[in-house]
Amino acid sequence: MIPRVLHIAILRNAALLVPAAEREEWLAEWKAELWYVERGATTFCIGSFRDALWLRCSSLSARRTFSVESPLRCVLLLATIALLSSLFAFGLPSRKLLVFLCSPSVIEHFASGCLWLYLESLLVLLALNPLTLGECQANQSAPSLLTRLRRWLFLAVKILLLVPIPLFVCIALLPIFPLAPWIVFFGWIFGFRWILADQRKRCPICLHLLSNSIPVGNAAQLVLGSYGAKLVCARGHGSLYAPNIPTSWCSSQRWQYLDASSTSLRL
Amino acid sequence: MASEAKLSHTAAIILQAIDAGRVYGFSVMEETGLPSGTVYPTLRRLERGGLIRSQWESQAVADADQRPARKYYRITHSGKLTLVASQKRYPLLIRLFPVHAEGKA
Repeated sequence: MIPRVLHIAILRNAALLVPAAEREEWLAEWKAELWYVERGATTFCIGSFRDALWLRCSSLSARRTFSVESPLRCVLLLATIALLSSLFAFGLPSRKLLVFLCSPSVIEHFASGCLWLYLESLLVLLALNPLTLGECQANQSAPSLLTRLRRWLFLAVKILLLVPIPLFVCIALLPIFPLAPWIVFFGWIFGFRWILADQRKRCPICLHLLSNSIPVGNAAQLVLGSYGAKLVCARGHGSLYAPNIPTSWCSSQRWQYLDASSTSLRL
Repeated sequence: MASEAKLSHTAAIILQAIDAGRVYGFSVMEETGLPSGTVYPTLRRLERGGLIRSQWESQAVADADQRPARKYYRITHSGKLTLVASQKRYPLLIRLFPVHAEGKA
């Protein structure tokens, strides 16, 4: 039997994640609720971390001024970063390097090096991360070919905009930082990972980011992780179940398209 | 929030449970069978969306019952409207939690 004081300690630790302004009331509520728990108090207390994290994340997102929720904003953000990094590489003090890069032998060397890094980063990405986009559907109604093409086009544009960013940063830093090629390597790995994760969390119809993530499952059995999360499209196109771990009943994410009957949800 | 259609099944179940009279966090957990890590963040989200509101009971009442004060959750008008829409979408919601007269008091 785990003593009560340990449960309070778990709650106090979780409370550190809660924004300071809400912490006292949050802790008071969880302590009061703990009083009613007769069995599984540790499981109950570990669930408080999920609640505390939600409060922390929601306070951070409330402060965020720029969001990539819409596909246009996402592309604009990537385009802006690519433009800034190109200015950083070719517009500022590295003009001598630009002249150096213009010689054909250097360009050939640089291109083959980049190709190697590109392939290596793809291999690492493949080993670390599944490349599927969560196409597994829970029902029959699928979007039109045009809608599907638009989704793939959006993915292609994101990749095209991402590829030059680490390259430009590498070119800019090469004169002062000999390990700059590693920026390309890691930049592509993390960049592609982000692109895939971002694509999976977007509605296949309108390409907006899904919202209102709700954790599903018993947190304690997975050491603070839940089985998965459920998200919905704010425009009512459908809902997504994304498993955090593959289970026997759901190994990959499932998208549920909402049909015309869901219009009653729009008040 | 009510003007947008974005209640998942889980959130709709919790909103229905609150409407049925299970009005503090642990009682919602007991009735729905959902874990604490699901119920409490959903309560926060519903509250921020204006679908429910919370209120601490007075300490005197809690002292009289020899227990800690509870934070009660009540459904708002906007929450009622959203729930009605959700019940059309998920008709079994009403059967899951029949309304308790004492809970509504």
